[in-house]
Amino acid sequence: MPLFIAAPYIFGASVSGSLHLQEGLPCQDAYCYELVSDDFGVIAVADGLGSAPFSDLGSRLSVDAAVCAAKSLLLGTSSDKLDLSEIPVRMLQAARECLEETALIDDFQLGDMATTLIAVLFNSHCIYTAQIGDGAVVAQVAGSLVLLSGPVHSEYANEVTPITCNTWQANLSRAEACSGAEYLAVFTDGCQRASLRKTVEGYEPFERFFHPVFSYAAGMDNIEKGELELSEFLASEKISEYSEDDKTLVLAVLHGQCDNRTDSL
Amino acid sequence: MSVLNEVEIANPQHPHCATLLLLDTSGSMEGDKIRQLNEGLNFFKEDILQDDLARKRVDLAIITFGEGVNVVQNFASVESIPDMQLTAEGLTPMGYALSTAMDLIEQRKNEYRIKGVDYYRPWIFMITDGEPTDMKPGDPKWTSVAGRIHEGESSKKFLFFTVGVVPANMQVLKDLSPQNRPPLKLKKDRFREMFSWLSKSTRKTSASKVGDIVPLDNPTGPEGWGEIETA
Repeated sequence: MPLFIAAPYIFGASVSGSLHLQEGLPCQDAYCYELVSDDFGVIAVADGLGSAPFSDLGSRLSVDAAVCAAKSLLLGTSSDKLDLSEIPVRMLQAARECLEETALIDDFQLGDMATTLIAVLFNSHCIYTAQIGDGAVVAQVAGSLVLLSGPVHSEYANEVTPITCNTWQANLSRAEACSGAEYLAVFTDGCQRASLRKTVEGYEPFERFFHPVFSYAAGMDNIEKGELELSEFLASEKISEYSEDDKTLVLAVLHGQCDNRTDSL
Repeated sequence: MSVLNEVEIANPQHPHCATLLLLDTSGSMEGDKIRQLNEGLNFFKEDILQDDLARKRVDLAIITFGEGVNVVQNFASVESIPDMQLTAEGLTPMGYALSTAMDLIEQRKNEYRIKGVDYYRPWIFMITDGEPTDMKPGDPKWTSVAGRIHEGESSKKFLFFTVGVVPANMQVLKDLSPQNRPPLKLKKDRFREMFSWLSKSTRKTSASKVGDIVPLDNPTGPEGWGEIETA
């Protein structure tokens, strides 16, 4: 009988897209997550823009700064003064400030580190998100899939507003979902074509993608092994066939499962 | 059996890169020009097919204007388009041709939206050796067509490129073109180089990723195929 990990837990992976592999470029996606004091989960996912020369640095610095800021706020503020819904926006602000400082010190243009950023905070009651640029957050709430936060509508495939843009605050979107969330997926646009159906009304989560993925997450017995297998999954031909972009997927299991699944990848 | 093997893909299709060629086949193109245009067009198709990603993503349409305006090829994948031998005859109904091109682009984008297909900003690429015979600067048709081009370009509905082949009326083409992208005058016998540039630019666009600004090679350099008339 495998020993399941007690929820909540988080795991994730980033892989280079085929174009970056061909050109010998680094993966421009990055992610960071942390469970803070058993009560909170914090996730940041970023996708550096291909047109920016140091976007791999931008995405890495952004996710690290965002998670660090959330951790400081959660651990350093008394609970009666803590507005949880504001924390994802503060995570984005911290990332932007970090990029501004780096640009100043290292004599870069801010836009040289252009990146998208999604920040998520959850506890056993609520999920809060803030997002600039594309990628998405999907939750399973009471058995149903919900697109909590998705790409801002942009007509063309190669248009996006990064956090380094001066109008980033006007372009950020935030969301929250309360009670009953079981699973969470946070991902960059390299996974969008695989996981979201695009309709005239907008995007919607694709059940035949998320149900197996969340089912796999529920059956995890080892985070390290899970991350390795998730990398293999993201790099697989099935997922890469329609997107040559870098891909990042971070999964969180919010509540304990009674599932005795023993599947592995 | 891994549970992740059960994953299915929501949108199993590549983003599309719509490119519309608007080709002058009026009587004045007769001879060497139409021969070079045909050779260049077929070279363009072959060149796109050499690129794995562009082959899957470029969606090509061809409209000719000469003896009427003809959609000789509605949007389709390049590999499904047969080789063509266009012939030159008739006048230059450029106004109607431009309206037809912009209608076709809108129609295609609508199909993409309905089918949930991601797409890049479409290109309209016009090649002509004359001036419109179905409209004149300032008349209602001209005002409507030129206004639609300028509005379409500024609101990012499409990218509009014009190439004039001697003896094209470059001033008329300039008035039709968006201010930020003046018409280029094709250097003598450079049809193939022009189509090579177009193919390379289309391939670059179709391989671009989110947020990419696609830098195009300068066609007016010393080795380029075009020049900008500043007079």
